[in-house]
Amino acid sequence: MSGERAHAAAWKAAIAATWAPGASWPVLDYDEGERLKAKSLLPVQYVLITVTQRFGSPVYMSGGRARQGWRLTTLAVAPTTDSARWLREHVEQLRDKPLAALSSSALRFESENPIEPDGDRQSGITVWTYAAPV
Amino acid sequence: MNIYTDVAELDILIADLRKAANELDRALDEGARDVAKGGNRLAVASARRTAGTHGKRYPRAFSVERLGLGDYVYGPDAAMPQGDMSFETGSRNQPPHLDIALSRDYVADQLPRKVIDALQRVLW
Repeated sequence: MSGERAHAAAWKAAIAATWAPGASWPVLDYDEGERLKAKSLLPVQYVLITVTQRFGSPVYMSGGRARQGWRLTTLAVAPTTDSARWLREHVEQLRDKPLAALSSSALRFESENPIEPDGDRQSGITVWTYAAPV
Repeated sequence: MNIYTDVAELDILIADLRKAANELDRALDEGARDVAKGGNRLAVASARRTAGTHGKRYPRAFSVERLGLGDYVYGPDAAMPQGDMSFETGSRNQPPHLDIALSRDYVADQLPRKVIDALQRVLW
């Protein structure tokens, strides 16, 4: 599977699958969050993601490319630092594991921000990188 | 096989190697500086594109600082106007801009090349 839409959908499903049974915190795009906020339907806690392609994937002499580098960001948003940590811990289960749906390489940790006040919630971002077939 | 060595020549070799050690420090430091400066330039260019009217001072907050031998850091200086704003990682109302992450994709591979260049300059 390739393409940004497919990647975003795959990660949303993969992250949502890490929650404990019974929990169903949404994994959203930023604009989805904005829309829910406008309707006052924003859930108590959720994860916002972005998926973008990276420069620097190995290129064949012929100009082709076997794999494409990607960058995934996951922002855990929750009412308290502790619950934001809970979300983060669950996303962390994907660390260093390939995602079968994308035939991707292992998801590598790149950087992270501490969980900080963000409006009326607490949030902290984690940045990940991985590679997937073109 | 016999090797005849003039002691005076050995002294010259020792002196050359001593000199190389000093020059290598400088060459590696210059290499690291070039990479940091290149990365900063790319990050500024990206920030200029992504910051928008809301963050028009943000690109000017970027700087390169030397921490020690071969040790450089670049990015927005928190003491500068808008330098401490969270454009890089965003917030829940604003997606991350990832200007520095993007610049790192470009320059990270250059550092090993700079180390090889430095070695070649000093030893050959």
